[in-house]
Amino acid sequence: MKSKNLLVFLLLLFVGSSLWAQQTVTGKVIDDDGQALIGANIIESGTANGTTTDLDGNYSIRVANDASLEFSLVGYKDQVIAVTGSTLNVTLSEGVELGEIVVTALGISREKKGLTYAVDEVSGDEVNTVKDANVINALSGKTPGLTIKKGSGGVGGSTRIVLRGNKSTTNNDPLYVIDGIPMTNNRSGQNAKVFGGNIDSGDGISNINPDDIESISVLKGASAAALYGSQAANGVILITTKKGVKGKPKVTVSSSYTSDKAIQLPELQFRYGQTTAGDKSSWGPKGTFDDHVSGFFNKGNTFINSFSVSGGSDNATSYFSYSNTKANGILPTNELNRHNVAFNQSMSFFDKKLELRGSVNYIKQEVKNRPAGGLYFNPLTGLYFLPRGLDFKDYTDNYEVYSQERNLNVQNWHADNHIQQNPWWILNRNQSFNNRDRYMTTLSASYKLMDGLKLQLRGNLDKTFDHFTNEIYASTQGTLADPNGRFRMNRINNTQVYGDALLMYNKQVNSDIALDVNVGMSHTLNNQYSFIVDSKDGGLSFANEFYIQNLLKPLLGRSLNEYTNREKKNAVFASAQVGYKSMLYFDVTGRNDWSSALPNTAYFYPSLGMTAIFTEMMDLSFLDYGKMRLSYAKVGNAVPAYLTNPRSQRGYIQNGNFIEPNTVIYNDIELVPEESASLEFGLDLKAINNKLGFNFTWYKTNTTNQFINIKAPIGSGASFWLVNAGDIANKGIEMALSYDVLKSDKLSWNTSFNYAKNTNEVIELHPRFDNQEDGPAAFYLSNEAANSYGMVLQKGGAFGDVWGVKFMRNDAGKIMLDTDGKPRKEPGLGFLGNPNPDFALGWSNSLSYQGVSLNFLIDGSFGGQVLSISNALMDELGVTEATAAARDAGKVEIDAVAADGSAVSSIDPQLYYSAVSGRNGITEAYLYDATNIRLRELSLGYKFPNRVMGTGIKLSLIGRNLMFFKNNAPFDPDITASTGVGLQGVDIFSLPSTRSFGVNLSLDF
Amino acid sequence: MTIKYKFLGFLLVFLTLTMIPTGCNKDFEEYNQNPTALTNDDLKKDYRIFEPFKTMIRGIYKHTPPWQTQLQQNLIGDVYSGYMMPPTPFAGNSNNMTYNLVDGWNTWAFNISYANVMSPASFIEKNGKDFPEFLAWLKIVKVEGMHRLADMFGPIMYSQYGQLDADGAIAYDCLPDLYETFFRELDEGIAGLEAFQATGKPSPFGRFDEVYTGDIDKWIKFANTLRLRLAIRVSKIDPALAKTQGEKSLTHPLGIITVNDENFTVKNDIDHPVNTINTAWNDVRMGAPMESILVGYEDPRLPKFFEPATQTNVAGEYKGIRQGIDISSKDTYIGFSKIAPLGNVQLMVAAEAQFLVAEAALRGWNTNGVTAQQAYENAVQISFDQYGLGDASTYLNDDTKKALPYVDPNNAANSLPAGDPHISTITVKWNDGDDFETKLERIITQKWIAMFPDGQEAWSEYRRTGYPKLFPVMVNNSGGEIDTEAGIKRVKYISGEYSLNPKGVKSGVDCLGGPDTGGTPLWWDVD
Repeated sequence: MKSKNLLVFLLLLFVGSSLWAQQTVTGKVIDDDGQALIGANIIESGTANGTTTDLDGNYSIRVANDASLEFSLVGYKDQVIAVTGSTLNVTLSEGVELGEIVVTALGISREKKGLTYAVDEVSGDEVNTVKDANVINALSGKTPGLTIKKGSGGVGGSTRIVLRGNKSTTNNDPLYVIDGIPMTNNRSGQNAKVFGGNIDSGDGISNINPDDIESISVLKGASAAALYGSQAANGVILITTKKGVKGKPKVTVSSSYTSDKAIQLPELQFRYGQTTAGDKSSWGPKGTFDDHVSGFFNKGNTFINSFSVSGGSDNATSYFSYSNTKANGILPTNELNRHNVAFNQSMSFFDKKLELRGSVNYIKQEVKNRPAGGLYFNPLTGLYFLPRGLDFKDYTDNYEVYSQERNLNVQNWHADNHIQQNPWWILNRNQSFNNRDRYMTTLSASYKLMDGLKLQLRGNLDKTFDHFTNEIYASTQGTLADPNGRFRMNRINNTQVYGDALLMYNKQVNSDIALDVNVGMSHTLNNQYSFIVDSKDGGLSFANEFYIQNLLKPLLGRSLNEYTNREKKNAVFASAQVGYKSMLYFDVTGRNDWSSALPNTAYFYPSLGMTAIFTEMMDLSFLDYGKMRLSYAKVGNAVPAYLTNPRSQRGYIQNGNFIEPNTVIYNDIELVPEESASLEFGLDLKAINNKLGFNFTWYKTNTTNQFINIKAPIGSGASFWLVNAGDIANKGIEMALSYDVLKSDKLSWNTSFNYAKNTNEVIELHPRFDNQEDGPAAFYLSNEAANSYGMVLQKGGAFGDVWGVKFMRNDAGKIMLDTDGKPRKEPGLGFLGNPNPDFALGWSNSLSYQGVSLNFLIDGSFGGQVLSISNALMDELGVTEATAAARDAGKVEIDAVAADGSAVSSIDPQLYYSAVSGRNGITEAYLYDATNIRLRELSLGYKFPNRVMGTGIKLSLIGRNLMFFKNNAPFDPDITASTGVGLQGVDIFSLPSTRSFGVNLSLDF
Repeated sequence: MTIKYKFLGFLLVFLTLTMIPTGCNKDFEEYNQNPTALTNDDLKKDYRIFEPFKTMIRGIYKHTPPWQTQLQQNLIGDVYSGYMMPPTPFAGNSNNMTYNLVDGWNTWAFNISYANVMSPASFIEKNGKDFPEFLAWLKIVKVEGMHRLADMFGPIMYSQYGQLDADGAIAYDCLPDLYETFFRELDEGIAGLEAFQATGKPSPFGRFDEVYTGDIDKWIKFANTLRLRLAIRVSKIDPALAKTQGEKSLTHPLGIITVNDENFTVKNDIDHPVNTINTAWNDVRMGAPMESILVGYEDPRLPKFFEPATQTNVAGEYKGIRQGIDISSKDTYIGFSKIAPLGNVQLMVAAEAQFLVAEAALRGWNTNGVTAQQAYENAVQISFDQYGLGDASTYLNDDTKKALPYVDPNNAANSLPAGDPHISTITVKWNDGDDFETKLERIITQKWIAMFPDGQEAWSEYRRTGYPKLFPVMVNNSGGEIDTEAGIKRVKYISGEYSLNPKGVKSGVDCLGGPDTGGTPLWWDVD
């Protein structure tokens, strides 16, 4: 009942104000639904005299007899009404049209019409209706040009977000900014290798409580982000959190439950048995076997419960929230539990000249058995591979059996194979625990120095403590663990200290010209300390004791390491906007960055922009609103810490041994930051009484001076050269069309389409890659060529190109067979496809009838190719439906020529798969069209028309990822093997995609 | 007006504030230092800057992990010398053994020497300038490490290592130049060590020296022996140079290594990698020529080198696998003789030194009066001593025992009958009346036995002299590049060099004297 005390406290803070005037006007302010509006502002025009509405929406103000009253409230259209009597009731309509305010870089609020670049706003409601444990996943399909790929880490796992295409070989993540302050979004443990075995640590953004979000702005282009300088090369996602609103204390309680079901399981066969007893494969005789796979996955459950209290007076507002997320994934034993506590308070002093704001957030998250993608420690390999005819139930019930020899329980599995183990052994005896504690505190003060001039100071401390442990029991497969087991522990502490000062000045110079100037500086300090323990190769002394004291030879294995990664950044920046008659705006921004990673250099990033609201300049009767915008900006991506320091070139100690450096800076060049220059043009139109809206953006971004580790010739003295080179271009268009089909008080229907197309080209890498006899050399973003797969950058190609082993074909394009009749393969790897779509299309609809609302979102991604290493491995063992169907038919159709040149139209299935499948097969056979169209979201909501016992009730039923209208790949192309830079467009035993149903109830008092 | 001034005042204050960041940048240098990386000052303490000597000494013959040893030598020199042969039909039996040179393997053979010898050496050259005694020592270790690579590939990057030319390429050294450099560096190394000894200071090498624990006399003797080895190597192509260089060693006051205590063995607790390849992986077995010669001589060293076979029809006998035969399953030959457990890695023995003296005497060099026979018999006795086998005179007086015909119990096609020209006919006992070639064959055949298991050096001497007689491959997958009868002459350059250093590797091919194949003999390999 602590919340009750808080309410009383908040009420005490509530202070009203009144002023002397000639006449008293009273009235009530309500919304379209007839609900009282609390805290609406009422100001007597031309004076400072004003008041706000009380708990019941009532107000009372003394004004001059001929006065006009201005009514305003955030989220509602302003109204100005002349006083004609002593009573004045007003209805404010929701939504702000032309005077819409959006939050831009550094938290500066700007009128949307004056912006010279594209900004997409997503409201908190939009991300909260269909909730996801990682809030950022809810942005999927809601804004053009934003690509979201969920990692394979199950509930609460990290997500890969790319704005307007991949640009960088080192980092493509956008910058997340919460209430104006850049947030660390560390994400470690991403697999870069097909073998995997790393465990996704989750990302920073997934820690945010969705219910705390007021709105999200997506700044996709460099122009929008230029004020953030080097951190913002990949765009910015700005999150504005909820604050206390003055007026009656408002209590919101929200509960949601979502149930997840695995869909898109691989198509497996259960009619051909084990090849021979003891064999790993299922190329044996026909039989009838149980489907042991589909029953393996659980129904996933996610409960998100939250409540918030907010309220305040004229001079002080408070917001408090608590939320709990409890989930268990579709993978048995995978659990997540997260608590979020947030409190923020703002107070104003000295006639509101000084405003102080403070906020504290605490996040505690515990995740057990977050799924690991890749081949190692993945329960799905053993599950899918199980030779048909073996009893999975026995392996489930008896995943461990007593060993007389060791006097302990050991794993029970049919094969000793590094890429598979008993799934239940992995889930119970290779368990991992990810715990996170995170504190974020912010203080800010702003002081109104004079009319139009404000000074703002902000400070933020963000500390994250991650603790990962992995307890791997004795008798785990020998490649993955030593005989007595393996202990892994990572402790990673992240600290970010951020401070900035901002001087904001705006002035209406004369009736035509408005000036808006901001000057500021910022200081950022990042420190990441990691303590990494891994007993592998050194071994454990006692079996199954998982702590450091038990490490057998701590200096022989990969064992004990600590790292500190730290960077300091300072910046000064300024922006100026001149507006002419609210129809023409010019923007200029500049930022200068200093980074400790480049101690001797300063970098300047400019941007320029222009906007013309041409409907204000000329009379275009068919348009209600028309705006053209053009902008250019240059931003950068900083150098990784320490790289430029000669100390890093001097070697280090590993396991007590001295290791000489093997990566050196090529030709001792002076490293400079990676740079993105982008040009953007846009058009925003509204017509038919603002019912039809259309936005169009064209952009082009060139990212140069990339950091690339290129392979050095061995005789140069280094294994790798660090170069600062390359030019990756992204060009694209984004369009959104929205139409209010119906708009009346009771019934409304809005339909909107969004479209995005991005083309990427690697224009240049490094001259050393060019002078090759057989064309430009390839730069591997994944580990090179292992498992017949590589993610490759090559001059003339595109980011994300998937390379693999191809069929050897003759001049007529026919597959060539060898003397045994097996398809031959080309030596080495070649280009197969690119996973990035040609274009993406989304269609969303929202209908509402009185209190009932229906929303759905269909989106599609067209073109692109993805590769399935899972299927290649499963085919080898004969467990897929494809291999069974081929055996049923007795052949695989093929357009080939035999070694003697004769045409071949079909070959024996086992012969065919022995050539194409497996880790050393022909990956070309496992390339699939990535086109997919799906019903991504469906929600049905009901808002009770009247308050029930003073309580507003909103109930919604939600569905996510409901069905595929089309999907040719054997997995969901939205799932990515890694949320890092590499391993894109390839499936390596990722967790299947899920379909979710849920219910969301929110109450406000 | 006042308001404007006020504003300007604020602006001034603000601009001053904004200057702070530029002032704050002062600690950037310190902040940009990785606390877990080392500085030169850190490395000077306890001479740790010379730590890379350990890497070098362990990298001449890569000790660990064993798979690197396997690729560096066990699937190349150890097989081509006739010492060993894998029972494993790697890559469908089309691999180094059957003369289809596997680029992915040989890449390691090439790169290991650069990563483990040249790279640490260049680190020491750069950072240890103040310590000439270490630099002198370095030269000797470097030559020992890199002559083995040159013996494998031919021209290699050495003098131009780490130096990009105008096209960004690293040039290769042709063998005549390379040998000149080797000889010069050995001279400089010996002179540098002698100069340090003259100062009377104690040796600082001990903590990094897993071979001679810092004993500078032993290093000088080793360097002399190495110079003699290289001189003998070029004795056919450039007799004058060979004589000059060889006599320098033979007449040096400290001379060459003479007792087993001076053998170049690497003393550490790392298990010999061949033990893992041999027992854990079952990827290597005795070579057929070893069986034929050692069993024929009833050589007492046989049980020291190999274990009896376990395959039922030959159990208890010593059985070797013939190189380059048709193998379809690893199980076929897995029961042949394993290598007996090996101790420390051994790269030069005193016996070899005496065999070198024997050949020098044969070639008429100044050996301080030691005759070829004396050196030969002395060498065999030293080898017996090394294995604790007592007096060798019975063995040395045997003039009847010869190598035996070879029988493959699993595939008769691989057998070599009595009288086959590939079966050695040389006996043990020295006969001063024999002609030069017979004497040479006797010396080299015995040296071949004494040097076991260093297949790399044995293969080099086989190519130079044609001794001992070895068996040709049965399956030749070289596509005509390697002549079956002449056998493999070198390892092909690696694809990584063709892609990353194309101009450089071309400079190597240009002075190879033939195409870049396994069939082109090296400079010193002449008849």
